[in-house]
Amino acid sequence: MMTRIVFLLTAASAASFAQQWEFGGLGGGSFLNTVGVTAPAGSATAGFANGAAFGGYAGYNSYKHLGGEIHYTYLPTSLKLSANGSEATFSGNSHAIHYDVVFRTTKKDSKAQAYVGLGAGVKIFRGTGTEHAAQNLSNYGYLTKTQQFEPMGTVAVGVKVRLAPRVFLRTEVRDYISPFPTQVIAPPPGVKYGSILNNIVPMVGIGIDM
Amino acid sequence: MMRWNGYLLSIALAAMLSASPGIAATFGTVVPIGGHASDIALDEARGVLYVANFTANRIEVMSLADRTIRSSMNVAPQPAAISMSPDGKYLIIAHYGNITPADPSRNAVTLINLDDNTRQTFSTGDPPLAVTFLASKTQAAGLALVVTTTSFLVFDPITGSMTSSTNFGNVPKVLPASLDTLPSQVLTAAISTNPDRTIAYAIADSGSAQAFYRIDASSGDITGALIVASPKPLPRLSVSPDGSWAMAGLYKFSATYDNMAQFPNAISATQIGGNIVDPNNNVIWAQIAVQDTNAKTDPITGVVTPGPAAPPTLMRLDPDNLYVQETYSTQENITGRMVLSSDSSALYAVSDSGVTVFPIGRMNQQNRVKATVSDVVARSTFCNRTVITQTLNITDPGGGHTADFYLSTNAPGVTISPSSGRVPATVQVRIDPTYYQNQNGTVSVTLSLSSAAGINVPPPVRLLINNRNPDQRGTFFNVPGTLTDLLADPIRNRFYVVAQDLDQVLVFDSTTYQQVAALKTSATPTQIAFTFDRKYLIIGHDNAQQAWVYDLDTLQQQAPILFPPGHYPRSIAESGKTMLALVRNVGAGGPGVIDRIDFNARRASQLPSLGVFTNSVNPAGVLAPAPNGASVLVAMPDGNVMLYDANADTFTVSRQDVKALGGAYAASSYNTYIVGNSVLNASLVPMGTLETSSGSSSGFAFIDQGGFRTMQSSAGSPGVIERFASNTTGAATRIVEAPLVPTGFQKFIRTVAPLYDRSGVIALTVSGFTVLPWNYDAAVAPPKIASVVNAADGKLPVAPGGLISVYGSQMAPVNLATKEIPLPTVLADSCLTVNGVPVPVLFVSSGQINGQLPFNVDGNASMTLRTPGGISDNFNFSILPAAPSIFRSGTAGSDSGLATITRADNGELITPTNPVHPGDTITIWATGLGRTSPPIDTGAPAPSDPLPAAVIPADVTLGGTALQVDYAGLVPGSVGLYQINATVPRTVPQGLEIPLVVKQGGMSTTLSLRVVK
Repeated sequence: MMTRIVFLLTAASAASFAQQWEFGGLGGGSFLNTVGVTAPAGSATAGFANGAAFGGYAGYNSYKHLGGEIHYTYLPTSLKLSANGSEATFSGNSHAIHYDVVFRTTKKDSKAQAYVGLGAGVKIFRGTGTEHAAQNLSNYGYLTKTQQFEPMGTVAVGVKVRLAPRVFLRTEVRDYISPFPTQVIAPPPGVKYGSILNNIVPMVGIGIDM
Repeated sequence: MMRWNGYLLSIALAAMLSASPGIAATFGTVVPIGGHASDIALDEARGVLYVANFTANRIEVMSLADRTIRSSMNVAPQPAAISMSPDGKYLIIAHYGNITPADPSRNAVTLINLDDNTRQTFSTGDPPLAVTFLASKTQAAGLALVVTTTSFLVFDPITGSMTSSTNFGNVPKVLPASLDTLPSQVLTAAISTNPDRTIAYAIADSGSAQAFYRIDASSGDITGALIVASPKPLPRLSVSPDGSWAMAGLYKFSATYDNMAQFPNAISATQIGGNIVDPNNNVIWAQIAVQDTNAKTDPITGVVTPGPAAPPTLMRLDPDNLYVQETYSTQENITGRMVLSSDSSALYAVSDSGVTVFPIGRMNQQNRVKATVSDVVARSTFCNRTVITQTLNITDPGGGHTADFYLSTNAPGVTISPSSGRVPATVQVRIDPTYYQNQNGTVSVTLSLSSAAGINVPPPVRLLINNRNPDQRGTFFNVPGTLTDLLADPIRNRFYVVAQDLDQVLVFDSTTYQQVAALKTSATPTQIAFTFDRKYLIIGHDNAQQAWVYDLDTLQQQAPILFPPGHYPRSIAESGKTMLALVRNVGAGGPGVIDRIDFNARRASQLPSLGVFTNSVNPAGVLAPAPNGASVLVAMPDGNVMLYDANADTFTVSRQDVKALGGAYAASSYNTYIVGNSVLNASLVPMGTLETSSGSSSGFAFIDQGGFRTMQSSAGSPGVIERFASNTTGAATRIVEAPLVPTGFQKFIRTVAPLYDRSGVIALTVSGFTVLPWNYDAAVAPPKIASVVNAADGKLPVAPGGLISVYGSQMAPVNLATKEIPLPTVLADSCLTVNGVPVPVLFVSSGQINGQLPFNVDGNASMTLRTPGGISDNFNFSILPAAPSIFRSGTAGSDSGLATITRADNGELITPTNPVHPGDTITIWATGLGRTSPPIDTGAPAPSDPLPAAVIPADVTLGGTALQVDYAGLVPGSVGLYQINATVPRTVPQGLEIPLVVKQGGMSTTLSLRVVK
């Protein structure tokens, strides 16, 4: 997976000489679904706590309605298990790196433009908390100090509004779709988890085109 | 020349190799005066001590600063006594002129004005024997009281007037005296005051009797009593601060001349002795001559050969009961008055050469040695063939001095290391039980402690070596001292033990068997008794003419019961009608009599007769009250028995059916009595004899119409206890050690006390007391062994040195775990052996025993368990050289049974939520890794240096990847517990259940761990 990302970045960089570039930063929230846990002890949910999201991107507008962007988003979020009104948490964070193909509704130098992004990349889940021999709800899952790479697809819709000749406001809502990281939140033997994790990330940011 | 050098070298080597000290250090500095000192007076204002030199006709003036005779005052012949006036202005000197031919003009007093050194002499007519100044309300100089051979004279130092106060019997002593007897045999009167000189006590000896006087300076009253004291006291007096009592030789007597206490085993000394009450330290300093215990009597001629002269000593006594707190070696004997500096920093005593100065205020700067305990107990069993090691601390009781010490014994199988050295020191006493394996009881061994540099006479240490078989019942508790009586409280959870040599009654909780109080007694307590209402405890004494009383609810001392002169209350009993005392009587009327006690008045008086019988009993007799108060039994060693009937309020029976009785004595509420081995009926007619094959009678106690009886064949024997019913005893049950039998002057003893809640039976035994369960003789099924597994994962195989669990039935009477290190080989009477080698045990219960397999067993083995129920069948099993197994005793939160493998990062157990990471160092806690290098004794904790590593290397793999093993061996400080420290390589595979394999020799153990990157 990492090999593919490096290839894409290299391709984008090589094509940038005679094209129009766009850079920006975004911030917002991170909202994740939980997956169902089926365990001998009963049912529970596993996932991540909601939190903030910060990121940046670099894009290249090669055509009138079509462009490409590479994104990095940092998602500080705790690991979480919930069952029977009880909850176990463990510090953690995620890193999302992906490349999007962007379709704009208007040409690239319009006052306002809506867009849709479709992309793919990798999401890195990390447990960073302090390990203990005993953990609450350990019969539903093990919250683990480790990291796990998962392939990820993403889709985004957004609007850009030009504020100045080279500056624009960008707002978007994105969904990161990945397999559930079962090494960071590991199911004990005999316990089954749901498989897909959706991470909805609404963000607002400023972009500059050059 | 070479030969001479070799001789010197031999001497030096002999001195170095000598195991015992040479001449011991002594306390105090002797100041010789070149004559016989007859009296001393302390002049602290001038920094001098005046010493009357009786034979040189001088008053020596000794400097307190450098303890030298700075000057001398020549005075008239024979200065016999001296005293300083309260204002320090005058020194009065009494001159003893009763020499042949008689010359009354020599009988005089000299008054020296110390301010201007003027002197006046005043005739006393009769020879003056003693003199002292008393405080006066009218003049600071006070008034001098002179004791002559016929009267008291009051002398006014201002006016020089001398008036006769009271006449008393002539004290005839005439010089010249025989050789070596001056001056003590001449000066047979003495007088001393309390520090503020308001009260004086005097003693004058007529030869056949002693007159005791008390003089109240404020009222001028003189009271006196004529006493025939035996042993006769030396005329050496000192007075308590408030004047309420005084010491006269060996006696402490009250203002009304009651004998409050007397020093045990004292003799009628002719010269040696002295005493002084120290109000600042609340002690008495004294030397008191005692019986020659080394004297030998020729069995044919009856000629007594005295033993070697006792070395001179100074004692520090408890003023309440004359208990010896500490004894110090001195250079020479005290032969006269002792005086204290006002701050009690220095003590001056007339002694053989003149004066001895004792710096008692600097006692803690003197070298002293003392063991911190009186007894050391070594508990062995036939199971334990390994050497028992006990530690003993020897210290300087005053603090930081480093005097030498020597600890020795002649007992076989006992070694002491180090046997000499310097204090403070921890000494190891090692006992080889093989020397005592045929001794199923307790042997008492004396460890003698001495010091060349120490000034004190350290008491010896008693080493008690107990060896027992599983069939010997009971658990013994060590109580130092000579124990002479035992009573269980009928309404409180307590029992009481008389510790005669400690002058105490020890109070024990009958639930925990722990001592809860120590009640001080007067000198030499003999027997205790309850009042009939069970509210008070009364203590009889052999060396006080008082019985002490304690409130049992508060354990506070009450006013004592005073006895007539010469009556020492040895045994006391109260019926429902009256309280009686059997007393040793040194006065008229016979050696022993019975007194009636008026408890409310706290006075006793001799019964004129015992009903129709003469009031003359054997002083070694005892009284035993029936619990219902109906009667009191009197038992005497000459075979006489008597009965006091409470209803008739008189003695109704006196019989002598045998010529000797001794040992146990008891009275029931059902008209049955026990004396020795005899069972007596209501008329004290023998109606049966208890079996005697088990040894000598020790103790007996009734419970309703039944009871318990103890016997011993010898002090080192097991002794037995028997249940009494229907006037006979049942089968004898061996107990852990021998019960006590009477010793010394006591011919009867109570050594059994059933607790009134019927939870157990207490027996006085050699080491202290033994607790037996009420049903100690209940039948117990023999033990059975069902399986042997390692204690880590509960599986086979097992290896030498590993912790094991043995399962079965009837394996121990109780559940009991030990914290004792090294581990005991017997716990709760259960003893496990493998191929005959004892197994140290951690825990015993009816169904399981945990212990450590001995290091020196291997291959096919046979295990046997011994309990009070018998011996199990052999259980055969195999022991492999190594059988690693990881404990499953870990807990984390609500999870238990976890493998005991920890991460060094956080010290917590490895679990799925605390998984292994590459690079981690993990510790595997296990057992069964087999023998170690260096080898460790079975049951002993592993040392930290050098670390005892497993002889057979341990290999550890995780997911097939070898871990680097940093250490595999015993855990320092633990018994049978091993640890393997290993480092996880970076290449270890990850997963939820990665197999961890510990392999040693041909054996391995496997479990799964979670590994994450």
